Amino acid sequence: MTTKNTGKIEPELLSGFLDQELDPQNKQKVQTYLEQNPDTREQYKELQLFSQQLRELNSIPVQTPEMEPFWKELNSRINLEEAGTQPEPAVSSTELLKIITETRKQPTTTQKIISGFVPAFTGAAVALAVVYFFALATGILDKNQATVNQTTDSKVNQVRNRNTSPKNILVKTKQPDHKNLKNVSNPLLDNKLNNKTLPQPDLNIEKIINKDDSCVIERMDTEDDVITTVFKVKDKDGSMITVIWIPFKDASPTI
Amino acid sequence: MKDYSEYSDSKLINLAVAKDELAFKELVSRHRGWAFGFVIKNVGQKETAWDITQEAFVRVYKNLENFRHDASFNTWFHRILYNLCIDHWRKSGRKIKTEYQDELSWDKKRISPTGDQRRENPEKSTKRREVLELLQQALETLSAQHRNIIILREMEGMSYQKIAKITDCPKGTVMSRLHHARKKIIEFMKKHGYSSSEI
Repeated sequence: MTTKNTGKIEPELLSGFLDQELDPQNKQKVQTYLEQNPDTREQYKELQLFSQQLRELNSIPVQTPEMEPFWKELNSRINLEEAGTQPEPAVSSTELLKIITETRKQPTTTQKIISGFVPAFTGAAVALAVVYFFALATGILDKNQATVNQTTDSKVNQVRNRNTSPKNILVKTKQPDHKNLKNVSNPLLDNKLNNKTLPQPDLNIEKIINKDDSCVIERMDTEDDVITTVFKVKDKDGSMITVIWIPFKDASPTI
Repeated sequence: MKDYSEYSDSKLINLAVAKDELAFKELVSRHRGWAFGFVIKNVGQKETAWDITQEAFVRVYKNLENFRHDASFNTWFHRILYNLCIDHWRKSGRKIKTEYQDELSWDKKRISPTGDQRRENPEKSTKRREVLELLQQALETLSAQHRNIIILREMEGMSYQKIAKITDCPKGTVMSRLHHARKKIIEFMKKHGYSSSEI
């Protein structure tokens, strides 16, 4: 950093001088300039005093987070990150979602044959059955919970958008706050789309989530006024189980 | 159970790379306090600070193998935290006036006065508190870069060289940004009726 030819010093040199970060040559220049210029000396004095005051702000104690809860959450996050980088299953959840959505359109027999719907549906049904019974077996979901409970109080609790991946949304259960879901910019949970009333999010999701520390919502779609949610929950052994939830009006959710 | 408390950060990282969970836990235990403190000064909210600190450790974990052992873990981690704070600011705009400021509402129990301050008369003490409150507000009006640089220098007491490493910019830029940030704070204080003579 050098001084200008006009004889004036570059203003930032005052900060460098204050912080004792100048080389000897510039230090001497600033020192001489300050001796000869009362106005700049006044500016320097201001810098010095406010700098001291700013340092006082640091004297306010900040409580260190407790180790165990901090470590527990960190472990969960690392597991989620690692799960997110695992290879996709043979039939991805997105494909399953597509198949299930297709089934709801109830195509004609001819269409089914032409589009290969029947084998696709069979495959999906088998895959879903596996996931469902796996969830039952591992205690993530029990049959008693698999009932439709339409209620306006349904809340999937606090959602925090992860910085790393838009797909990874951690759902926590400690502090219910429906507003946060809207912050994810998902209009589906506003229960209204195109001025039509959509079904409420099903309480079963909340129950499932409550069974574990966290879950990852992969995507939420709507078709024919029905919200379809694909999410993953962490099993006891750390592996992720894909759950697809479609709130049929008169049936249990599809798992 | 192994005791890693005497191990250097560098050694802990080597062990953590080899999937030694306890070594990584020791690293977290050792650095979470100052990291959280740095972030909360930046973002204001405890919950957000917790989140960002967590995220920073996740990034550390994911990049342990990339750590260059000729650098200090502290600087490397500061850089991760700094970048996450800047990201947070970019995403959330400048709405940071929150809990931290509430904490800074000068509850007398929380601020332990220095010897000189104890001898101050009550009127002067009140004035000082007002000045510090205003300074906090002034900090909140700064851009993310300016705010960070003030925190790194004035609160963390770092050298220009270390700040340059963390913020990934030349030393001259650090000095320039720091000066501009200080000038903005002084302008804010003057605008609110305070001058150096009143402190």
